[in-house]
Amino acid sequence: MKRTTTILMLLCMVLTAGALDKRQTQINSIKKSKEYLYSDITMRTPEDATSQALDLLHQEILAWASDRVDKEIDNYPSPVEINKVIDTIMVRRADMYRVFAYVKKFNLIPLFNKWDMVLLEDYDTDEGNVSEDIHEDEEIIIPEEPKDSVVGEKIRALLKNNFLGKKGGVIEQIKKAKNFFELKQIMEPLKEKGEITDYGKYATAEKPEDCYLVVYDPAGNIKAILGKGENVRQNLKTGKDDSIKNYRGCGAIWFTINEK
Amino acid sequence: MIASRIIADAVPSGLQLTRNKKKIDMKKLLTAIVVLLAISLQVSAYNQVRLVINDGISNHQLKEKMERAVSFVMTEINRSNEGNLKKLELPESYITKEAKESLNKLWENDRFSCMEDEVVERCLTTYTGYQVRGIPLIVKAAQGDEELGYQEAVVNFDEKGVITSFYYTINPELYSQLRMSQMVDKRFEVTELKDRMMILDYVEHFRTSYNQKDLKFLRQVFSDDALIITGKVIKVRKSEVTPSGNKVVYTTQTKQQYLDNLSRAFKSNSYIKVAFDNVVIVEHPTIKGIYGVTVHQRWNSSRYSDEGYVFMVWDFRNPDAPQIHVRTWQPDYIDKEHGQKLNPNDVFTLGDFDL
Repeated sequence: MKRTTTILMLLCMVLTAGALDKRQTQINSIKKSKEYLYSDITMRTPEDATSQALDLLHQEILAWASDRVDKEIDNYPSPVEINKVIDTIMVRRADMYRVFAYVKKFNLIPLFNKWDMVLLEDYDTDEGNVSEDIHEDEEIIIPEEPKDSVVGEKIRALLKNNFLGKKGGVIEQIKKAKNFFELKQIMEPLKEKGEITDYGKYATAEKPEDCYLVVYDPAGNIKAILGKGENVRQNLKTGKDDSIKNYRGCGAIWFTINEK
Repeated sequence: MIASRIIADAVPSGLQLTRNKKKIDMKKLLTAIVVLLAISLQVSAYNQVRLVINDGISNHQLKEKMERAVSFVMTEINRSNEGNLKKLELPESYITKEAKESLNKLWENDRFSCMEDEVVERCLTTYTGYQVRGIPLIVKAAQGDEELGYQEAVVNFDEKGVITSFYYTINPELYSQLRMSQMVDKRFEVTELKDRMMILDYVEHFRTSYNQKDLKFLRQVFSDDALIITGKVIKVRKSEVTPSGNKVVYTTQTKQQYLDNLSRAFKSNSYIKVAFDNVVIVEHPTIKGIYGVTVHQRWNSSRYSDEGYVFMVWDFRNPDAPQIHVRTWQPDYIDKEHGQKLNPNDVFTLGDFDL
């Protein structure tokens, strides 16, 4: 029994080390590619590292954008709009947390679409060699060779999102949150805009069955977004039936959508 | 090959298993897994480090030279750490004699290694050459096994790509913010940016000198008539002025008194770790070259730890030999038990001193 436990522990170590190594390779691939803007922050808490990394990447994006036009820019996209196209990778570094936030320049086109031509130049000069698994993670596939339109599938896909109902739009935005901290940054503006009527911790929900739920694990990673319901709820990421009972040890945030 | 042989020995075929019903030799299987673990973790005596500069320099030859220098030095540091060597042997084609001595001074007190095989970072241009930041290190005390946690290193190069210094960084995001502010605000003069980078470079050297226990540098950097003020929390009777019953009192020291006390602290502590974050730099409104630098300091040594605000008045009017005229320390908390922090308005600033 003892030996079996030892073997299992060793196997777990092998798998964990492999996963860490893969994330490290992914981060370095992105850093070497000219297709991305990024920020890389290591701090004492995951909250500080996430907030600082997002903040710096926002500045990097705005600086990059302002370098591409001669006149003063008066219509910067909002932080929420920018967060939609940002991805993050979090890894432990000894006693600290490293958060790597990145965005593909091409994915910024819908936000800064008047700079299409300049963006193409960025692609022409790309010398980076990004590993393929990065592309696998993206929700929308970018065509390798944009033809008559620089915007291509990416923008069309985003435009399609805009034509979804209000409910679909809200869910799509919430799906962008990778962890608990990003979630709050998305929720609060949605509440201010009146797109969600309210949100809070699971224990505070008066009628949980009427609320959507965002489930997160103890590390703050989002595990699932569940639709309304009592025992059975639809998992809005997979489309399959799911239940809050499947997420023991996790926390949840409830929210209600203004469906008028 | 060896691994596959061990696995083959350890795991009998299905036929043998059913025919003989022998127990799997657990010892051999365990050995096989350890070998696999070693392979998957790419365990070698030490990590070979490779620096890749991804941006910030167009001279390809120079870029490759800097990459080679850092890769060699970091790999050598890992090798020395693994072998518990007391001195770093580094060739002067990659690192100046002074930088090597300074690095060895740090090595006498701290042992560190670069935790990643490949480090990808930007190159910054400084007032004397180039700089690469963000080299990830795991640090422990040279004496004993005290883990000192994660640090990032900053390496400065001269114009020929030779390493001129190796320090621990101030909180890593600060340089990025500095870089961003320069890019966002078009009015920001490049010369001023260079001044600020020079100040941060000295602040990083200053910060590392505590880890190095480098009294020589500290003696050199404090002006002879430097004013050193240290705050201390004392208990007093509760009143309208002091409702918590705690009060901060300040004592002044001369440069010599401060350095004597520091020398005693260096001798009595096996390690000293000083970390700065939240650095704020303000230029004097009328005297060019005088800067007020406020940092949040975390002091952690083998016998004592504290957190507080350090304010310094730096004089860069002679950029080759900058000096500190004022250093103050104030505690983070007036009453830690009840969570009462020092009022940010009470932290010393440039305006509190007549210069």
